[in-house]
Amino acid sequence: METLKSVARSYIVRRIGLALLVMWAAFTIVFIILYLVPGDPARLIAGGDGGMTATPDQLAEINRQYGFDQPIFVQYLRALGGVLTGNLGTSYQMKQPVTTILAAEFGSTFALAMFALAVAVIIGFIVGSATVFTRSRMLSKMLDAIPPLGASLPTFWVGLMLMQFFSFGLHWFPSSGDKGFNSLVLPGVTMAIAGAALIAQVLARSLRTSYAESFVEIAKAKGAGRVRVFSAHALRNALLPTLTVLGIMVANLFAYSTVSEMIFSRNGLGLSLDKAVQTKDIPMVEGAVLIIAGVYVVTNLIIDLIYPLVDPRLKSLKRRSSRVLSSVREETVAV
Amino acid sequence: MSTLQTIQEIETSVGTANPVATAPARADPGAGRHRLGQLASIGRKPGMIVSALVLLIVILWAILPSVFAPYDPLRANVSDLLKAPSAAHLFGTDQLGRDIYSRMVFGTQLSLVTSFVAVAIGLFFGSLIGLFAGYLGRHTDAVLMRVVDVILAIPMLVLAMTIVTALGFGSVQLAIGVGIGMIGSVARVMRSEVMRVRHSMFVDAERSMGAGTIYIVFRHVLPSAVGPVLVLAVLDFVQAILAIAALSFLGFGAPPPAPEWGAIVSAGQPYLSTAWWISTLPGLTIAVFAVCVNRIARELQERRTR
Amino acid sequence: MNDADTHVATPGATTIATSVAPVLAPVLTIEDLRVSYGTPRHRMPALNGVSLEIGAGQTVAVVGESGSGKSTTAHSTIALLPPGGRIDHGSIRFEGRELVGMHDAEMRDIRGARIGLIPQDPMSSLNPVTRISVQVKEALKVHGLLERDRRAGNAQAIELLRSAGLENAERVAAQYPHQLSGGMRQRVLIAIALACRPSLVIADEPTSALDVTVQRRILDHIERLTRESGASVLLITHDLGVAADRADHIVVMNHGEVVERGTTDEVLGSPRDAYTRKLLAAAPSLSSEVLFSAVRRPVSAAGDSAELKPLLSVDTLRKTFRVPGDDADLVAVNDVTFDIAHGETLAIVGESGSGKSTTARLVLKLEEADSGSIVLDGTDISRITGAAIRPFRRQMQMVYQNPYGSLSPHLTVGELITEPLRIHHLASRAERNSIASDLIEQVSLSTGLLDRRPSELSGGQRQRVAIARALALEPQLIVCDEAVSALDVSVQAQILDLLARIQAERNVAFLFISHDLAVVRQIAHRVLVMKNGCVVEQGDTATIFDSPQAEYTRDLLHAIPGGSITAASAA
Repeated sequence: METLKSVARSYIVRRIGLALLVMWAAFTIVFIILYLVPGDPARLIAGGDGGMTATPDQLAEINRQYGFDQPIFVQYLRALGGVLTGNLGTSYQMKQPVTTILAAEFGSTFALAMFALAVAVIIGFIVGSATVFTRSRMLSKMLDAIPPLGASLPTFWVGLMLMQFFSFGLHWFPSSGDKGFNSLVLPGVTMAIAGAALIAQVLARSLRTSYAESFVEIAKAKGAGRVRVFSAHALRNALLPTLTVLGIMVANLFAYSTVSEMIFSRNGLGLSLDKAVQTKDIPMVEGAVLIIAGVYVVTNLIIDLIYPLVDPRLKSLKRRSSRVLSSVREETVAV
Repeated sequence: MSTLQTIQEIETSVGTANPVATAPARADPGAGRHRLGQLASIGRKPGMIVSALVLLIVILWAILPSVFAPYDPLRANVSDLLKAPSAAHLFGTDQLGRDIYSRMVFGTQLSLVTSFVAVAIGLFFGSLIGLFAGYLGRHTDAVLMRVVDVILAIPMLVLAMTIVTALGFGSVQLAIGVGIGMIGSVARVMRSEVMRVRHSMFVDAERSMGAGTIYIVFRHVLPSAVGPVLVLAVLDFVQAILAIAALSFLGFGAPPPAPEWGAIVSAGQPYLSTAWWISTLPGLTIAVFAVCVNRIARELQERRTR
Repeated sequence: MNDADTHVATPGATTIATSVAPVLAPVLTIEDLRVSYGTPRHRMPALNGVSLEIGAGQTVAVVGESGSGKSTTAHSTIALLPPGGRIDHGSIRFEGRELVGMHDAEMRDIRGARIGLIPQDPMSSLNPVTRISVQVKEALKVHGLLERDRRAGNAQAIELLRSAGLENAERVAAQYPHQLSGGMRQRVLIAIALACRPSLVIADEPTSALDVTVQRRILDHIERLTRESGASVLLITHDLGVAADRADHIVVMNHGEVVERGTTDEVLGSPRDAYTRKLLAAAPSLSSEVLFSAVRRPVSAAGDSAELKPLLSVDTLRKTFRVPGDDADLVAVNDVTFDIAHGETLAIVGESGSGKSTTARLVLKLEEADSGSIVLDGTDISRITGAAIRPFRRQMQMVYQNPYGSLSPHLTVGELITEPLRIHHLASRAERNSIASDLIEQVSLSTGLLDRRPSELSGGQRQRVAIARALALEPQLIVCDEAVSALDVSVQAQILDLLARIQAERNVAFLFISHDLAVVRQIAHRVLVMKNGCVVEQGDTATIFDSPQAEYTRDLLHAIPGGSITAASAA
């Protein structure tokens, strides 16, 4: 038992180490990209008509204040140090700490993303399961055709159509705002559709793979009924690839909050990122991107920790567990 | 939408996951003669015919917009403000009286070329990374896959927005952003294909006959890996169309009044309750096109699995 | 060579003597069963009117090659045909009830409870994500036979596992399938199949995925358990030897039809049908005709054998692998030493994990040995690596076990056969074409196949293509790694004939890796027995088979099924 605990501990430590490495690399890449920005950031900060009216003295003062007069490497280290202490710099436009602004916006987007995730998971599981479970060939074929359709719809158009029908047409849900549960529904569903399509496709495919396995035949040969064969055998084995998909989906929901929040005029991370890009507010862009990368990393960390619970084959790993796991993940991606 | 990167990986790899397993226990001696029959079998799939037709029309829009568009996409006409769809204006007119159908037709070229460039970027760099990682293995693989992890950690849309911040708004910038965002999934598919082939028995047999690495890569690994990667490229094309339309919807594409698919839809948002057609019909066009290309990609994939 | 007959124990002899007992009311009666596969429009018949009968307590073996419909017959009986399969006609009566057309809910009460299934592939037949105890208990639970009390239920499962021959039943019950070996998993599946004390057990190739010694123990166990409970057994097998040893009655199937049926000694002793006779002749057993030509053997050539240098000389070859999750390294090949003379066949036999395939790969330089030497035709190649080894590969070629995987799917047969020439830049395109025609004729295939792709060929045809490819460089040594193991017996016999003929014509040496002693006896001049990476013993084929020195070799020989074929045909 002692060894098992230490194995588990080293596994967790390894995954966390890897997650931090990805975060650092993401920060560095975003930093490099954003320093390609042409033009003088001081003029952007000075505001007004692109900083044209700012005096050289004012610009020099801004440069000194923001550290733009330092060599780029020093600026990088300072930014990195700032990230480590939770300081993402000061917004060029709002003249406030980025951390404060984004912290205020995060909650609303988080609620939206979690609602969308729940909708996507529920619809995806129902459609994916029904596709494989039904005995009707017709129904199965029809259900099978829905996810590719859902995956091909432009998200922004879906949002506009939902607004047109459910806000302007039926007046069921508000067309804008971020107050209360009702305001979550339309933007959430907008973001959820592609995710639901993805889950349904992966789940249906993994279920079919499971059903083709001999252990399902053995379960039937035991005399088990359809429901038992489905839930105790096929579904349990189909969960791992579906879990892998969730790891990528969650961060994408945050990314698509840019579209959804803009359409439905909701304040949040997405709308902030959108505005920041429009106004070249570099610290805001960098902060928002880092948070979304962080969401990706944390989601995948959680999923990595859930994997061994879903599949006991991953539990009995000793050394090099992370490598074996990543090979398992490659396999699930290749399923 | 880049959420779908994985499904593409999963789907494309599925087709080729195990050629041994899919090989029939007893070979069908007449399999070779079925190829003509396969072509004929498309005829039995109405969905495929419609999809191919839509693709053809949209490509023609891109090549010869002036033949298909009845009006100048940029010319405003005050006597035709916000007209509902009719025989004269198939998709109606917008708040400046411009013919929306003509704007869509003229926007096709830019939207398709931008998506095409994005896919080309993703395909080129992704394949290269995947090939090296898969064939060289060990440390090269470990390092390259960490790079891919980082690319995947920043969703395609967000990566594109970052790049647009740096390089300014415009279609080429969008293409670069979306293209880089695609590198990750292409690299993964290429890598797993290359690894599958590299560890396959027939490559082992080639080695036992005395073949060298470069010979094996060019004669066996690449020809086997190209198929799934190309299917992925078609699926990625759909995703590029959608992502670039979304970014241009957000206003990061070519500056107005240039017609671009996403921007045309965006322009209609303020009139959603009064002039529904401005957003609805162009969006529907994009959706139909995406569904059709998706359908074709799936057909190609099914063919490969067979 | 007919003296081999007398050296083989005949464990099946007693079975045959008792099997003539009168048949009581049959447990299972299949009449004129017709089954087809495919889409609703395109049906491919799989069974064309199959009839058979199993009496209470009887074991009936259905024997046939792949595509004969033997598995379809078994799966029809429990109404678990694969997707697309459908019973078109006929009747299956089990314990007085008609199963064809029975409602699924009723059928479920029979499955598991009255008819147990022991499947073909133990490795994939257990659910990988649930514990063994849960899977055993499930068999009882669905029929309401599981004790309500959790502890009592677990005790039931453990008892079932124990009676299936698992010694550490408590531990196994708490484990997951991946922690068990193939033999142990098959025992778990036996426990599941017999959990509800069914009156009929369908064993669908229950041991073909297992090593011979394990196979023997498992079959013994199935026999004992079913005898104790009085259950009948429908044994599906491709192996006439297994059928001969285990069954009271044999039903021979070919192309969806029963070609012959009768008691075991009737069918084996005086087969009436031509196909049965062909099958019997092709089945390698310890009494089969020896194929190699003894004249070619250089050691038996009179005079100074010292002058004849061996073609290949392997000395104290060693290879260890690092096992993930294990502190000790696995010694896959442990100081293996052997010689192969020109034109000689040396067989390396052993069970899975014996290191026989690794040895072959070391010799071919597909893996690097840790230590030891490999001298090929006077040159020590063990230290030559990288591109420098490539010229030496012209001397030794390989034929793989899997005829589906070892041929590049995107090349044509003609390109495949001449691929080695292309690699070594040995012939122009035109020359290659004519060489390809020559070679394909040498392996008795039509030149019309040259433009086909491997996916269009049958398994036997593919293996012939692989052999033709191996011959292209006119090597002195061909390594055959289980080259006939994946083939049906009749195809296997043809390929073995081909190999023997090639050796006679070209004086090529074979290193023949196999788990199948009966095959080895037919083809090899000398035999080397391996276990756990070590050489157990080596010597002339006759010596090894007639007077094995090592205990392990005797076990292996003893475990070969089919002793009673010899007995029956001798009778």
